[in-house]
Amino acid sequence: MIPYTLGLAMLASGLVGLLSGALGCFAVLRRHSLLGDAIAHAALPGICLAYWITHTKATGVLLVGAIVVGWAGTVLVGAISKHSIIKEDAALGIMLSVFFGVGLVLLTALQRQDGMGQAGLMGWLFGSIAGVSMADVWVLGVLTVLGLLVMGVMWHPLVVLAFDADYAHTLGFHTRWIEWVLTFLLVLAIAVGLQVVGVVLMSSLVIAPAVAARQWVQRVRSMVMVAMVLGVCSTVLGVWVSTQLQWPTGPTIVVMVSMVVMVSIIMAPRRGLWWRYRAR
Amino acid sequence: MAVAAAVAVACALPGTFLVLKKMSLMSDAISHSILLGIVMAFGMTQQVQSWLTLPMAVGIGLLTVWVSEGLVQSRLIKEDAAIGLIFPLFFSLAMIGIHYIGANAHIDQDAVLLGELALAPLRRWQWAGIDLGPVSLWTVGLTGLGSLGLCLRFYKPLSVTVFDPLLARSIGLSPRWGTYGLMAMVSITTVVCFDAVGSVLVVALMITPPCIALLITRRLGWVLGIACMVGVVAALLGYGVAVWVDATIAGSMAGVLGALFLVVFAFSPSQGLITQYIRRKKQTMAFACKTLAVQLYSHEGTSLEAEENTLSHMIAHMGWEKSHSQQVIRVGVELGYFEWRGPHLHLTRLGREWARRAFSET
Repeated sequence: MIPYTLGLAMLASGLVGLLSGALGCFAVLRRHSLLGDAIAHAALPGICLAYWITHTKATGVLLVGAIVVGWAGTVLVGAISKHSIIKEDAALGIMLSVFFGVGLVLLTALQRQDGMGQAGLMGWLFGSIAGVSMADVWVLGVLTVLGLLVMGVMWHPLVVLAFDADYAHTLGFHTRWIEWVLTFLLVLAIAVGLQVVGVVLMSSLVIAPAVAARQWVQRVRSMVMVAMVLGVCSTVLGVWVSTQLQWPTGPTIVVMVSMVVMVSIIMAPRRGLWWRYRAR
Repeated sequence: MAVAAAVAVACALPGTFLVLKKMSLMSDAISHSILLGIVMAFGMTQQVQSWLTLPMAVGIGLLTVWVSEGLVQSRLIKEDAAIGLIFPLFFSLAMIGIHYIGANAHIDQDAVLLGELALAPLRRWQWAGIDLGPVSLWTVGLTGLGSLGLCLRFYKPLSVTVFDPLLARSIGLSPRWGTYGLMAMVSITTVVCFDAVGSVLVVALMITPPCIALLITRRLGWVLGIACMVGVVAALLGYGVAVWVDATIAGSMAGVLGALFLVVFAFSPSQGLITQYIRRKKQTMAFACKTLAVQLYSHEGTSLEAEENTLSHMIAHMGWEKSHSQQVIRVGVELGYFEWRGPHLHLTRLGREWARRAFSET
């Protein structure tokens, strides 16, 4: 029998793996993988601001802050790369480091203002799945269902946009709007994952399942399915391994997902490195 | 504070080339993954700062670049995804490593992310009883001087490889070596600056100042110079802000850099958002004046002149809003192209000349 807290942790991380696995596919296909990293960093000041304003540490409230600021940061990156000679990668780098820096300023300022206040906030940096409560799981669950629902409704436009934005535009899709929805979904997925693996390691959870899934299948629908399965399996397994070995949870999950990617790259039928080697 | 300024200069130089090569996010990746090198060096020598730290960290930094390049070349993974996969893995391994080393070690996660600039002046270098100043000022300063020297020595080849890899190859330079040399420089700088300012600020200091400089000027030499200056200014202001709100110095330096970037992004003389807006407004106005001048010119001396030149007619004829017409006329009068004679608008001599030229151009 699995202990209660471990069960909760597994449930929470499974939800995270499910959502980020699914939405990561679109980020990877659109070559926006590193946006995930930037959003995760940008969410930190959001969390701190939400705490500063409301003085609660309820997951839902802090996540709203993370989502709002993360989304604002993404819009800013878009504006910078569109209206100046600064390329997108540099804009992402600026956003990531500056927002994170501001987040750390808020964090340390809050810490010195009311000594106790930041104890729960620090956990967001590296993830603190051990402290997940049933209420948190509910919040994560609702957000996950919401994200997957929107993805399902918008499925067709999202797929077209992922492969050929110009074509989507000629088909009469409102590409800008769809792009915003996609960004919002990505921000949502990342916000949900922050609590489990933390700001620094979140990008891996978005990219890895999608990349691994891509090696095995050729169709988007199956890619999303496989990525969801891989996401859930590797996060849940990661939590379990981390409790067995007494390793920190977030990093263990990342190592798990990365191993899945490695195996996929080497072993995947037809594409994999092993098959390439044999074909030679 | 001197340490912060030195760090800013040391970071801005390699950072400029990173930004120009569109590899900005490599600095993010390297700054995270070198932690693994530091932890491994610690594991072997049981010292936070040993002779092994630098080579190990630089080695891991280059390994990051090499592995992600290899993955891209296998054509199984796109570049962005490859970078985004490698560094969290290395960082995770490093964190698990830290976990094993245990709590008695002097490396902990927060110090890695935040850096402890406040402590930097406390670790001083003493030689024969003489106080030579903070250790990190020396290491950072030497690194900065080193990369400055390299930049000056290899200025030509570096700029050629950055802007035109094909040309570089055809004249016998290897862009590959250029890239790896640059990455080695980035790794060394990161390791050295790391313990003064933390991994995040390294990224901020490497990327943001060159971007600000790029918004101001397009010449490489100027970009390098301005980037260094911006870095130093941000270091000083950031220090002030940190003291004022009592928060982390590294973070507030990043915040100041962000604010500076936004200001320049809005008001840059060549491409700022607001500058562009004002320029576009001015151009619209100038064009409208010209159109009006041509209109007046074509009716000049004809029987319709008296009727055509009233404000009400202009509104009807040009299809402009009343306020817009009035504004155009006001600007034109100010510039000396038009003048009012009673209810009629007439061209001045200057305006007539202008209109004739515009007319003959078309």
